[in-house]
Amino acid sequence: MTNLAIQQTDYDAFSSKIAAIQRGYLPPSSKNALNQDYDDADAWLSKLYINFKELHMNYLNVLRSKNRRVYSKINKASLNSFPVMNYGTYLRTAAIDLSVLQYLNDSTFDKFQIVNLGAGSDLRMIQYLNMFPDRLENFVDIDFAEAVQLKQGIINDLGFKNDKYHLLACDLKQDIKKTMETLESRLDLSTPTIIITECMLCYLPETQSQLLIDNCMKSFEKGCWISYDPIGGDQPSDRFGKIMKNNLQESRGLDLPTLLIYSSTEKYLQRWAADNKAESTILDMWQFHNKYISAKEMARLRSLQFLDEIEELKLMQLHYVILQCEWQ
Amino acid sequence: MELEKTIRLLKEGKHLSEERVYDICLKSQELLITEGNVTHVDTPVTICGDIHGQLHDLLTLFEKSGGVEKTRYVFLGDFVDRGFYSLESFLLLLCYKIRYPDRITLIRGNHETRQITKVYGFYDEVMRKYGNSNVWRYCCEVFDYLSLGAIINNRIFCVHGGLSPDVSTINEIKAIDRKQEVPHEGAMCDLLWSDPDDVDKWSLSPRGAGFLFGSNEVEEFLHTNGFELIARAHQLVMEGYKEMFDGGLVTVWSAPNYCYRCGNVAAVLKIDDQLERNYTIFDAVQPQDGVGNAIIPTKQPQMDYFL
Repeated sequence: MTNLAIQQTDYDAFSSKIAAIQRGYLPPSSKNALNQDYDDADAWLSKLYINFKELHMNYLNVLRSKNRRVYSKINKASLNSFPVMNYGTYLRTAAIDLSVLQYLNDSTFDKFQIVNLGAGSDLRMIQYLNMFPDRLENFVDIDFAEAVQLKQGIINDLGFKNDKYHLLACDLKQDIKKTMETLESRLDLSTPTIIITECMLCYLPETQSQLLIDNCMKSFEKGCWISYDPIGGDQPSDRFGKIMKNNLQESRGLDLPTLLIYSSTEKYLQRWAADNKAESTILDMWQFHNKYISAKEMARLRSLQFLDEIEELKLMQLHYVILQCEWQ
Repeated sequence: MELEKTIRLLKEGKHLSEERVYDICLKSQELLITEGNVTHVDTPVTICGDIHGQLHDLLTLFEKSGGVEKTRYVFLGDFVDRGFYSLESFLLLLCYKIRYPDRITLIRGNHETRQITKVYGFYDEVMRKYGNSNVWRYCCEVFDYLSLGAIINNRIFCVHGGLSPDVSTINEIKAIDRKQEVPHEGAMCDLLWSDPDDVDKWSLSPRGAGFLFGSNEVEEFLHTNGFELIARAHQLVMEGYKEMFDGGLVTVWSAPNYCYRCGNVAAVLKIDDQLERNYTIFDAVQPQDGVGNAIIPTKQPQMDYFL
């Protein structure tokens, strides 16, 4: 599989996000959107999503001047996004941010750092550095050299500059030693570290993804891994994963080496279970939807577009997971 | 004959001229305008659920269930959107309607509207294939004339979505002025949008239109109208069909591997003269590469996954 096939998935993710923003799904509503058990949940969420739309639209506009080809790809895809995709993008975004905020809310530590592996065009570094100017020590984005170059150019034009932000080129499929050297060049191993992998591990071969998890959890003394990925499904009658793997392979040469291996929430979680001091939770995204999206927020989402198929939404969300693993 | 040739072209997924499409739409409209909001149909008949532009699977459906030359069909709507061959699928059904008017009944689904087809793919498909929206407009005109329901042997009620709190008798459906874009609320909207569910009264639908109804509503409707079954489509069923409420309602789904990614099988329901139910299950046509009928055209936009 070429790196290009993987790199291009960033355009899918970013265009989906743009579509969800333009249709009004994202950001989540700032009042009682998510069922949370801590007091400041609303305040935290509204702080995190401040200027969210503006930030993303500005990024898209600068991208237009930097790379016309990528821009038109993203723009075109964002115009053709089905409601079921907008819903899913909303859920994906909310799930990751909620996991980060939950970890920080429960924490007793002050300073922390965040690593986004395979970050692509994700703009969480701006959101989180704005939200935690004192507590957040370092924010590291890792991606392929080409992706990093494009992103650096865009954020320069946007005027975003922060000494705590490090945008680093690294092929995560390569020798794990090099990956760890890259991470350790900018991060402090004794500071609590949040590692985000959003549709990243699914593109790695089995061995490499395990090495990455093991090495990070061993090197960083304390932290929280937050991962969002597809799972193939493990019921005999469930063909979703097999079809997904074939479809993506045939239409764009994109391989998902572990989709059918870590095919259930239990199997997906196993990779973090080697460390028996770690505490993990995992939900499929339909469980997440039912547990965390408030009735009020569901009513808001319903009003945006007619959703033609609930069963389809459910089927898809059953095949994606959000994992949270804390270790120390 | 011109119609036979058109049918052959459509089956092959070939392009038709705008004029030809206009002609088909006009002729179908003339036929449909004479039909009531609720059509009466005799057994034996085969009931088919959502098609969603999956032309090749529609051809399988006809093949597995006897074919329109020998069999009577009721289609429960959602001919267009999502799949890559909405236009060909819908026009093929219209051509069959013109060719065999007594053997095919077409009921309107919630996708057969201007608003929904602009979001869910049919409009874009026409723009891609013709460079303008004329053909889409002709088809939308036909949508407005499709029936809202059908009754088989006075015992089985066929509808796309389900029941409405505004409808207790068939006469109330007959009183609707159906020749319009589907409204956002009211009886006509509900018939096309509602879903059965495990609820004890009319409830809000998560789709944003129509209602959820339960066994109470179904029992009452069946009893009031002297029916034994509601046959509807509208919801993806992984096994192709699903009976609920002691067999008082069935969902029939006829788009296998929906959206080319759901992995479900499809079904049609044959009702014989004794009103016995026989389901036929079928699977999606395998994609073929290169020559001939590639199911997913190579230049199509990407299938939807979160990547």
